[in-house]
Order: sequence, then structure tokens, then C-alpha cells
Amino acid sequence: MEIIMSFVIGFLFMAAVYLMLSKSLIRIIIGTGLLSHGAHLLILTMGGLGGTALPVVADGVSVSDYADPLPQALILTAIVISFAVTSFFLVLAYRAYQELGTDNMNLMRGTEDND
Amino acid sequence: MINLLLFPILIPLLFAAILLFFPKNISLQRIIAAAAAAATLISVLFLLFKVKADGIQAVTLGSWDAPFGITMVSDLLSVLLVLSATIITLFVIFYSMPTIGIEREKSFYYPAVLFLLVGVNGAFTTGDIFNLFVFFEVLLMASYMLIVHGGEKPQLRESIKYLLVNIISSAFFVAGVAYLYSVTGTLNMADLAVKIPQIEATGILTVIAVMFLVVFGFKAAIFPLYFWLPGAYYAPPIPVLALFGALLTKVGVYAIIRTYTLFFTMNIAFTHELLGIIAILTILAGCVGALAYFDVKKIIIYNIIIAVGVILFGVAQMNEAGIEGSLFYLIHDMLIKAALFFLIGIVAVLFGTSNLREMGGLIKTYPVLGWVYLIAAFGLAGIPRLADSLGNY
Repeated sequence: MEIIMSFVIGFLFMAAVYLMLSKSLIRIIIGTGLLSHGAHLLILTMGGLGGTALPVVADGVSVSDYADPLPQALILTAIVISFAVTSFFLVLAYRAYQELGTDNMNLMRGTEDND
Repeated sequence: MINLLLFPILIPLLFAAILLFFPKNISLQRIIAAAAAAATLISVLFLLFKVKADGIQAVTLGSWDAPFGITMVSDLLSVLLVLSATIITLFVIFYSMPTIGIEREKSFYYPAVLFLLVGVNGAFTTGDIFNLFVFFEVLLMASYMLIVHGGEKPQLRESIKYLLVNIISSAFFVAGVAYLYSVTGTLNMADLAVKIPQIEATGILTVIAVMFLVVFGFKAAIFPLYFWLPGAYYAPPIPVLALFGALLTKVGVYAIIRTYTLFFTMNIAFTHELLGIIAILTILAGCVGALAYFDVKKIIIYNIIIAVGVILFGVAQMNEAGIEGSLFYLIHDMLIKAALFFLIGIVAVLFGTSNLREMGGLIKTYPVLGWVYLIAAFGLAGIPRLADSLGNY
């Protein structure tokens, strides 16, 4: 299972890099979304997958019976943060498109003759 | 168990939340923002004396004991950095009042500055590597807002790049934390310092250490990763630039110092050598940039990069003298950089340009300003008697 997850994470990172290297702003934003998804899945996988019991201390349940709950708490925080950042990025992209009249990164170089 | 070290984080947070309710009342916004920074300063001073008298202070949130709960730790280094950050924020607020413009003040400028202070103070205080990530995001979110605040065309254009670079580095940060957790089983910095030397496989830890160097390097603007900084910092107005230049890169530098002196010490021959080489290249790149421009703002921005290189070179030596010098220079540089940015803002307004070629005769028309600038620039250059020179050796 961990092996499959590694491939999924690798694919997500690959797709993210491909999208972020494109010129269109909206593709770049989708790329950042995929990148953070990949990172979140990575935490999940690093905490170990599977487990048969709930991660609650009780009779007859030992530590080896459940998956580590801490990475899941970490993911929750990371998801909320990436959600906020992505929504900010979308608003910023829309505003930039309105003001600058383009969503092409090639035209946003910021050299002196291109202000 | 003392909660005093949480006050520098909670006071600006509380006041920033209050400020969100009445954005249009400018005089009230100014008074409360200044009061918030002043109150934070007072609490930091109390904390400083406490730490000086009683040693390191620590709080575990929710009273969960150290390796499980989130710990906030305040030692002399972190409290001094919190102190400098708070002083700079207080003066940025004073400096903003006449210079930033009514329109910006009306649209949540002061709350954003205070939220930035929350993130910076939190990042300096935390003792947990994932909590460091959270505080990084708090300060980044505030910095995203400040860099685009006002919505001018260059700001919008540059903030997209700034945002993208920081999102990528945050994703790497999360990945690095995941690897570190899976190898060591803990995220508490003090616990990591105990666990890491016990691990035999130093190869994977070296990879993680370099990954964290990349993450913090994006924030601190070290050699190959500084490319975003000159453009992004040029866009916002001077008070925001002073705040960024004095605080943001220094948080990244602090994170490198913390991780590389506290727990990534298993393979000094490789990681610290790498850090040393990168530090020298950073200084070189910063010098080339500073010499290449005639725009005072750009020159000072490249000075930030040079300072980062100098500080990290001291850390890379990994001996007492080197680190002492680095820390001294770090705090000194925060204060002097903010002062220089303020002065350049005034000079640029007086001349109506920031191009060095079109300036001249400042010291005749405004003698006091000219001499103050000279002293500040000497401070940066390391003339004896001005604290800086100590750090350079």
C-alpha cells in the first residue's frame, strides 16, 4: 500500500511541476493545489497506513494496532492553510488579470520597459 | 510553567482582531496599533528580564508534556529577536502614519502589520518544528496581504511570483516535516536534539537537513534561491519594505541557525561545509547586485542578501566565536536595516527619485538627515565603535 501511495505522491508532484511551468496563471494555481495535495498525502503515508483499531487508549488495544494519529492532525492543519492560501491566490490572480489585462506569465516579467 | 512568553504573540493578535472591526476610523486605528506594539514591547521587556534572571522559559500548550504537546520555548536568543522585531514593528507603525497614505490605512493596513508581528514572534518563540511551519504561514499570509496592499500594477505582478515561490517552499516544508517525523518519531526540537544523534543512518538525515536548508533558504534568500527577492521587495511602499527587509528574511535565517546548531549536527563535514559555500556565494551575488544598480532602493535590497550570507557564514563555522558573531550581527542588522530603509524613504521623497545619479547635495540642504544617513551606513559598513564591527570578525 505504501508503494502505491509513493507512486501517487510522485505523480501528483510531477503533474504539479508540469502545470506550474506553464504560462497560464490558472494552470499555475491548479499546480500549487496539486503540489500541496502531494505533500499532504506524503505526511499521511509517513505516519503509516492501515491499523485495525481506533487510536484510543482502551483495554486490549496496543500501540501497534492503530495508525499513528499525529500525522492526521498535522494534515488537518496543513489542509486548512493550503485552502486559505489557494483562495487568496485565486482572488489575487483575478485582480491581477483585471488590472494587468493578461494572465500570461511571460508578459509579467517586470522589466523596465514592461511596467 | 509561566505564560509570560505567550504575551508577545497574543497581544498583537488580540489587538489586530479588534482593529478589524472599524477599518474606516483612522485615528483610532493609529492609536490602537501603536498601543498594541507598545504593550507588546513592555511584555517582551518583562520576559527579557525573566529569562535573564531565571534562564530558559517554556510552556507546553494544554499541559501535554514535552514530546507530545506543542512547546513554546524562550531562551535569550529568541527573546532578543522578539524584542528587536517588536521594536522595529513599533517604529514601522510610527513611520507609516504620515507616509503610507490614507487609502491604505483605511483598508486593514495596521491589522496586517500586527498579524505579521504575531507570526514573526511565534516563529522566534516556538519549540516545535511543525508549529514553526504554522507560524511561518501566519507571517506569510500577513506578508502576502502587505505586499499586494494598495493594488498597484507592479505590486500585483510581483506578489504573484512571491506567492508562488512561498507556496512551493511551504510544500517542501510539509514534506520535510513528514520525512523528519517518519525517521525520528518526534517533532519537538529539544526531543529531536536527543533523538537524532542516536540514529545510525545519517545519510537520510543529511538529505532531510538539506531539504530544510532549501525550505528556509527560500525564506532567507540564500544564493540560488534569492531570485524572487529583489523584484518582490521593490514593489511595496517603503514602510512595508522596511518591515520585510528587517524581519522576514531574518526569520528564515533564524530557522536555519536553530536547526543547524541544535539538531542537524550529525554530518557537519557535509551540511555545514555546504552552508559555508552557499553563504560565500550569497555574499558574492548580493555584492554584484548591489554594485550593478544606481537605484538606492535596489542597492539596499541587495544589502539584505549580503547580510544573510555574512550571518550564515558565521553559523557554518560551527564554533563559539562564529556563532556569537553571527547572532550579534543578526540582531544588529535587523535594527540597522530598518533604520536605513526609513532614511532612504525620506531621501527618496525629498528628491522625488531613488536614482543615485540624480541625487546629490543632500548634506547641504538637509545636514541632519545627511549625517544620520552617514552614521547608519557606517554602521552597516562596520566602522569601529558602531556595534556592527564586532559581528564581522
